Amino acid sequence: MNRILNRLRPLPKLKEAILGMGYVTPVFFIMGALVVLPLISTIWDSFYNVNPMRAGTPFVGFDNYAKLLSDPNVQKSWTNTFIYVAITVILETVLGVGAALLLNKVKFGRSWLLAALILPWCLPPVVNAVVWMWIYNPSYGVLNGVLLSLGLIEENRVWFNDQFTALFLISIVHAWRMMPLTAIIILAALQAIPKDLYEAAKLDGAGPIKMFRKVTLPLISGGLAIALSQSTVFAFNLFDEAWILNGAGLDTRTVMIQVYMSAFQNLKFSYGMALSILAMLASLIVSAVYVLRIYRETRFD
Amino acid sequence: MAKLEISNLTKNYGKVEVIKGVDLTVEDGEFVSLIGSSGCGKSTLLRMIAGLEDITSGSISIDGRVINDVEPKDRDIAMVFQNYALYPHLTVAENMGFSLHLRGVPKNEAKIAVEKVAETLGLTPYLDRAPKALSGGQRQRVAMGRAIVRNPRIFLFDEPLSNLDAKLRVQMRLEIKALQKRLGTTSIYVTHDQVEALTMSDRLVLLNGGQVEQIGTPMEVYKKPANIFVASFIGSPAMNLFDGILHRDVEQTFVTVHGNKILVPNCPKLTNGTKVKLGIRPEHLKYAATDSGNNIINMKVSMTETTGAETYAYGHFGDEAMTIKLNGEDAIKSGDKISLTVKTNLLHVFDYVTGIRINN
Repeated sequence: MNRILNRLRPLPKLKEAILGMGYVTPVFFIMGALVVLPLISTIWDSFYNVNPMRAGTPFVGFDNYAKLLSDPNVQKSWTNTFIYVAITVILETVLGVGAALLLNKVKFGRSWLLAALILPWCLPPVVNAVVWMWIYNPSYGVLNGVLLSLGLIEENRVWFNDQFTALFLISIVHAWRMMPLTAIIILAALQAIPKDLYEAAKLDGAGPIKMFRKVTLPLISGGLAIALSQSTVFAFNLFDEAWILNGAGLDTRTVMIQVYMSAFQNLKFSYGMALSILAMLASLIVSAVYVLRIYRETRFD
Repeated sequence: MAKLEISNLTKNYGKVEVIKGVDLTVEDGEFVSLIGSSGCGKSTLLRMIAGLEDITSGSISIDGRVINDVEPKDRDIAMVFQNYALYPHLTVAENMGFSLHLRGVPKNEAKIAVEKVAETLGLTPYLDRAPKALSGGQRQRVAMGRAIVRNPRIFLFDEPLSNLDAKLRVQMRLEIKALQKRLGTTSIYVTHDQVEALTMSDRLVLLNGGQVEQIGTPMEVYKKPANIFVASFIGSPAMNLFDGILHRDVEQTFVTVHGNKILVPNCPKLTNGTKVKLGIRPEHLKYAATDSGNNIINMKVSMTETTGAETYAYGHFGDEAMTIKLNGEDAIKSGDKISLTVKTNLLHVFDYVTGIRINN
C-alpha cells in the first residue's frame, strides 16, 4: 500500500523539469538542425556575397536585397507568383469547400469518393504536371480535342503562347493537386458541427443559403483559416508545375524558380538566399493575416 | 396557440416500422408528454411533428390544416433540443434572436423581444456571453428562451432535462411547467422519466414499440393502467404482478395467489377459473394484523433499501419476486417474514395472455 502511495507521489520539481526537457530534446534538436539553423545561416549568408566561382565571401549588407528590387526578372516573377497565389487560393478554396459540402451530404460510399478525391494530392507533383502537360499539348492534347469537338475553337491552340492563359492553366494544375487537402480539412470541420444545430436552424426558419452563411460558414472558419494559409504557403512555393509545363519561361516564372535560377544556374548563392527569405516573409505575412483575422472572429474556439 | 391532431400516423425506415398508426389530439394550450423506454418512437414522433422526419402515412394537422408537406421553417413550431443546440458562434442574445433575425424583424424590435424574454428567464446578465461560458442550467434556459422569443404555435421539448443534474432537473421542471401555464402555448414533451411526465403533464401518452399503449391524465394512468405495460412503467418501484386464478361466487370475486384468497374488484367479463395477473403497487401494501385471512400477502424479505423517508423491501411471495414501499421509520430487515394486506379497490387485474386490464 505504502509503495503504491510512494509511486503516486508527484515527482520533485527538478526531476519533473528534467523529465519534461527529456521529452522536448529530440524535437528541439531535429527542428533546430533542419529548420532553425538553415534559416539562420540563410539569413546570415544573404548579407554576404557567396559565389563558388569567386574567391572570398565579402560582406555586402543589404546589397543583395537592393539589387532584387531593381531586377526586372525578379519583379516579373513576383507578379507571376501573386497571380498564381490569387488564382490557386480562390480555386482551391471554392472547389475544396464545394467538394467537402458534397461529400458531407453523401451517405453511401463516402470513403470511396474520398479516396478518389485524394488521388491527385497523392501523386508526385512532377507526375501530376506531366499528365497535365499531355492534356495541354498543342497537337495531341485532350484539351484541344475536347474544345474542337465541342466547336468552341476552330483549330488547335498553343496554350502557352498567351501569358495569362499560361498562368491560369498552370494554376489549374496546382489547384487540382492541392484542392483535396482543403476539401479534407473542411470536411473534418463540417463533420464536427453537431447535426442538431442544423435542425434548430431549420425550425428557426433558415433556408439552405442562410443555413450555410449563418451556421456552416462561421463554424468551419477555423478549418478555413488553416486551409487558406496552407494553400497560400504552397502557392508561394509553386515550382514543379511551372517548371515542368513551361521550364524557365519568364512569362510563367515563379519566385521559387527565380531563386533556383539565381542560386544554382547563375551560381549567385546569396542573391538566391535573399530572394528566398523575402518569399518566406511574403507567405508568412499573407497567411498570418487570415489566421489572425479568422481567429479573432471565432470567439467560440 | 394551436390544436394539434395526429391521425393514423406511421413511419418506416426501410422495412422497419418505427411508428405504427398513432392517433393523438392535443388541445390548445395543453401540455402533453410522450413517454416510453428508448426506441419506443417517442422522439421520432416529436421530430415528425417538427418536420425533421418524413411521414410515411397518416397526417399531422395544426388547427385543421394538414402540415405533412409543410417545411419545418414554415410550421411555426419551436423545439428545445436535448443538447440545447445553441449556436456556439453566437452570443446568448444572438442565439435567442436568431429566428427573428432570419425573419427580418427589425433589430430594435428583436432586441426588445429578446430582452423581455431574457428577463423572465433570469438571463439578462448573460446576454453578451457565448453559450460555452454558461452552465448546463443556463444553457437550458437559453434554449427555452430561443423557443419563447419566437412566440410559436407549438413548443416541442426533446428530453430537455436529461443532461442536467438531479437537483437542477427538479427546479427546471417546475420552471418549465410554470412558464408553459403562463404562456398557454400548446406543448409536447418527450421524456423517458416518468416523474417528469407525471408531474408536468396535463395528459401523458405512453408509447411502446411505436404504438400508443394509453393516453390519459397522470392520475388515470396511475390509477387505471390500461395494461401490464403501463402498469409496470408508471409508478416507482414498479407494480408487483402475481399469477393467480380468478374465482367467482354469488357474493364475491377473488383471485387465489399461492393459496391466499385476495378479494378483487368485479371483473364481469371473466369466467370462474380463468388465469389472471394480479397487480399490486408496492406503496399499497400495508402491515397486516394477522397472517391469515382474506387479502393477505406473506412476504419473505431478502433485502432492504432506505432513502430516509422511505424504505423499500425486496423479497418473495411464494416463488414470485415482490417489492414493498414502507415508511422510513418501519423497522424491517432481510430474513423477516411479514404479512401484508391490501385494499380491494387498489387492486389491478390483468388478462394473463393479452395483459389488458380487466377490472374497472
